[in-house]
Amino acid sequence: MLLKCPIMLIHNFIVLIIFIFLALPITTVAEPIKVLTQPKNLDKEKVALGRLLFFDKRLSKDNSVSCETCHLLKEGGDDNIKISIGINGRKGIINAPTVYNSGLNFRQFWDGRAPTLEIQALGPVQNPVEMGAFWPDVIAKLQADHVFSQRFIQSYPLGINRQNVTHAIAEFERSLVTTDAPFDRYLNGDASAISEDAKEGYQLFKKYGCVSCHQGAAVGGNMYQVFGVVNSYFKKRGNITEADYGRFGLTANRMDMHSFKVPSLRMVAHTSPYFHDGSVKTLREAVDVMFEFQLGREAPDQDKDKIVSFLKTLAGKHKEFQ
Amino acid sequence: MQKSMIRYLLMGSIALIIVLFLLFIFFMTKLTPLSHDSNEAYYQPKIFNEEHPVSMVYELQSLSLASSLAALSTTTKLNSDFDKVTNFLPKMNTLRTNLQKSELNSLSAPKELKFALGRLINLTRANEEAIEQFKTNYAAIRNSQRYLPISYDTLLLLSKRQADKAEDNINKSGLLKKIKQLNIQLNMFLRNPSTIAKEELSKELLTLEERAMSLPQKISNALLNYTSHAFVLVNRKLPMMDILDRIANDDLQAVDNEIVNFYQQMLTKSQLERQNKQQVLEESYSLYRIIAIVLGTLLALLGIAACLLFLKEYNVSDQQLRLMSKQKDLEFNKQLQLQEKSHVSTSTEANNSYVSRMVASLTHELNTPLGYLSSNMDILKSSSKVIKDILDETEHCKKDLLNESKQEKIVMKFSNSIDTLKEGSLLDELPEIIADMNTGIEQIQHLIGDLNMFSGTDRAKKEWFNLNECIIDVLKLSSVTIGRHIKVLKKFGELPDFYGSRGKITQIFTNLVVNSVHAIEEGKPSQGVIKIVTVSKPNIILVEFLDNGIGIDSENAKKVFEPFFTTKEPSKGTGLGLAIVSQIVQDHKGKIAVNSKLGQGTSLKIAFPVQNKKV
Ligand code: HEC
Ligand code: HEC
Repeated sequence: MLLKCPIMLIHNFIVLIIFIFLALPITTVAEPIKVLTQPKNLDKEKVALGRLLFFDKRLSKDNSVSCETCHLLKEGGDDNIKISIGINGRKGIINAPTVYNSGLNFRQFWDGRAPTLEIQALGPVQNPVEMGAFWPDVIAKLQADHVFSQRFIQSYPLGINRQNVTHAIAEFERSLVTTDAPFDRYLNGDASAISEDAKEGYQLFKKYGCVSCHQGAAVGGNMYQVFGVVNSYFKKRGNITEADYGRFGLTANRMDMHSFKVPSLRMVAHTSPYFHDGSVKTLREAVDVMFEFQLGREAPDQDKDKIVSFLKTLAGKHKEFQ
Repeated sequence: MQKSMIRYLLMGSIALIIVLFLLFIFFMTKLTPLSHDSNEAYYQPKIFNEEHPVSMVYELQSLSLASSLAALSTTTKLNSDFDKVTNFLPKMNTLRTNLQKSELNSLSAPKELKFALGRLINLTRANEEAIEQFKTNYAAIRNSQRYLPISYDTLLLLSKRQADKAEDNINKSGLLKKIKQLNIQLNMFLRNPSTIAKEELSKELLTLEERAMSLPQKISNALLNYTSHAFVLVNRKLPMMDILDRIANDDLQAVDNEIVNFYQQMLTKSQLERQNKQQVLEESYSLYRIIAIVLGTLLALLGIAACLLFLKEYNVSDQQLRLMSKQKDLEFNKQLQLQEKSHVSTSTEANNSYVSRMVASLTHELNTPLGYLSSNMDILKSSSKVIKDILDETEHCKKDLLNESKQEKIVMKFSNSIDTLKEGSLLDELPEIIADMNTGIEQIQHLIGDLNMFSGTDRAKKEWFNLNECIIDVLKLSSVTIGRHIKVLKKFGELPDFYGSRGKITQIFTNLVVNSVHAIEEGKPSQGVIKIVTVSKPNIILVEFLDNGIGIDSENAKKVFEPFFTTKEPSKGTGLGLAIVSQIVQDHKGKIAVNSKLGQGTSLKIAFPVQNKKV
């Protein structure tokens, strides 16, 4: 009788409403990968200046190397070789990552040692195996170019100095966001934007747990992870160099041994070879490595193929690219 | 005629109630800072203008807390998205550099202020670092926790297949038995991690890895896969707890207050004006509150009116009404009591950290299982369509079965269906999915059980029993936990029978023993000792638990009976342990007191009143 009482009915009704209110945020599962959008608030002129600097070989000691030498914008923002080659053909120690979408990384470099793109840009110029120059010399060379320095002063009243030059380059890099990827169109509701295989690949990417490391708008670039969390990658590969220490080289903390910034997978279709050591040529092999050393689990070949076709839908467009 | 009028009125008022209720909820979400997706608005300081250094202090502190909370609450699902956490980073960096240039750090600023500022900046940096490590560890632990059972099952399966082969050396050499033992040990470690267990497990895992080399390729791989997941868990579980501890650090709040206090002493006139502005802002903020209260009252009045109308129409008998109101009174009293209790035990300041601890611990504890559930629910949802299609197909076949000429076709169809089912990995993964969901549900049940215990809704039956016997039972039950390295001394006096809930009392004694064991494990005295003394005095039974474990400092000793207080990390316990103990003791009209010295040990005394046994 008490249960049938109308007050109880109202009460139950209200409780139901509360419940629905509380349950709503739980039931709407947000996608772990977000659409990339063109960044706003960029100064067009500074971007243009940055572009000039990015292609400018005067940033190196003997005017032979520009940023673009190693970060080929037409080829996906990296150099397509295992280990970068800098000034005088000197070999570096690590694979060059793409500069596309680098503005989205929470830190720069494989080991995250640069907190911003500005600070990052300071590095290569004085690195003996990259551009081998000395900042004051580079600034002097640029200042001697009157056309360029006139134009520069329009945007930067203090003129050419180290801070402004790196800011312009960073501003240009922030503009290098690839948009309108097939996968983004799919996320925006265009079901025909990607193949059935790729759709299933996305589900598998989530299901197997790739997404716990590669996630967010850039599909990576927002945390550090040990390379070889399960099973030891480096023991198997052998020949460990300093470049393989990862963040350990910075922090000397044992937990940071072999830990690297999880790379963005947005341009992964165009940035072979893969990993910081450039050890793997094809995307398919890279996925094999991830399964073995990051997830520690086996998966059928067709699942891996589907994940690869999903990864290929992540690359967007940019006017510097293609 | 009249009746239909009333009906319209009723419909109207119900509609109104619902609308008002929705409005009410809307306003409430405006008021509660932790509501969904309004994070941004809350963490924007509403007080000073943005360039004001104190406002920067506030903002830096709240951003730091916000990123901790965001980290804790995104942890959860496979689908977790740490962009939310990293989005705070650039802002925090600029705030820190600006603060270092601000007047708080100028030459003329007092030394203490500069010092406090330096501490704030270091603390937020440390917090950031802790969050970095949290993200790293979280993904690794989550994956391995998921894949460890799978790798274990694979290993068992392979060894079963091997069992009757000649060169079988996993079953016959006793290796398998060892692995099984290790798996149990590992599960115990995961539930109750300690440094000792970690070292033991690491050693055993290493020997296992060595022995794996001599096994046949396939089984050796399976074993190595298992050990590598186990290593991830063994190595990362303890640091993870340490990290969680660091994220839930209260120091930030304290430093922030320090700075603001100093600053207030330095306030000049113009700054006082700004403060006035702040008051205006706060007043408009409290306008929301007034609106909410007015709406709430209106809502209540309307609700009552609607109820009365309903009562009139349906003529509910007086008696029923009385029954209901009586129940309500009871409930109200209960709530009142609870409220009073929590008021007495916590000052407002303590309340703040209590709430933040509670939020941190509850979001973490609830989100993890919910994550299990929701991600698996997704998979089930997509698979259920496949099953439904097959069922439909079967339905068709049933009709066709009557027609003999079509039988061959039916067989075809059936085998098709079976193939589809086999093709998708669903059937293989179903047990895994269900097990995952079960874990989620169990965790939630466990948590609710804990909370329930605390709220005292689940009262057990009372009976006459002897407390000494009860303690002996407890010691028997916890012998595994206590282990061989801890000595237990009993000094029992002759006790009269005690009237109370045996289950509950057993629970609190167990709790105290476990606490002592933990304290000893942490303190590492050369010989761990737990001493239990019972004494009967006129009208009182005294029970005392002593240990020579790590102990707690006097500051924390005051707080141990607060709910959600814990010196352990959130993932290990909800911090309800001693609060439950104290609640149960109070339920038995007893008293509890703690006396502890950091590094020396703890004594917990409980006094129960003696009742007269009615014959
Ligand atoms: C000799 C080849 C070379 C040149 C020239 C070069 N880079 Fe790089 N770049 C690399 C390598 C190799 C790395 C990875 C280094 C590391 O992580 O330790 C890198 C990393 C980066 C990154 C970090 C990307 C990420 O995802 O972490 C950015 C941004 C970048 N370079 C921009 C530039 C700019 C701007 C210039 C010109 C000033 C430049 N590079 C010149 C080879 C080069
Ligand atoms: C535990 C974290 C983690 C998980 C899980 C994970 N990855 Fe990775 N991934 C990394 C790290 C770290 C790197 C960089 C390793 C290195 O080069 O040092 C990486 C690199 C990659 C690369 C190469 C990118 C490049 O430009 O060099 C690909 C492709 C990739 N992962 C795909 C996947 C796929 C597919 C999965 C799921 C099967 C997955 N990852 C799961 C952490 C993870």
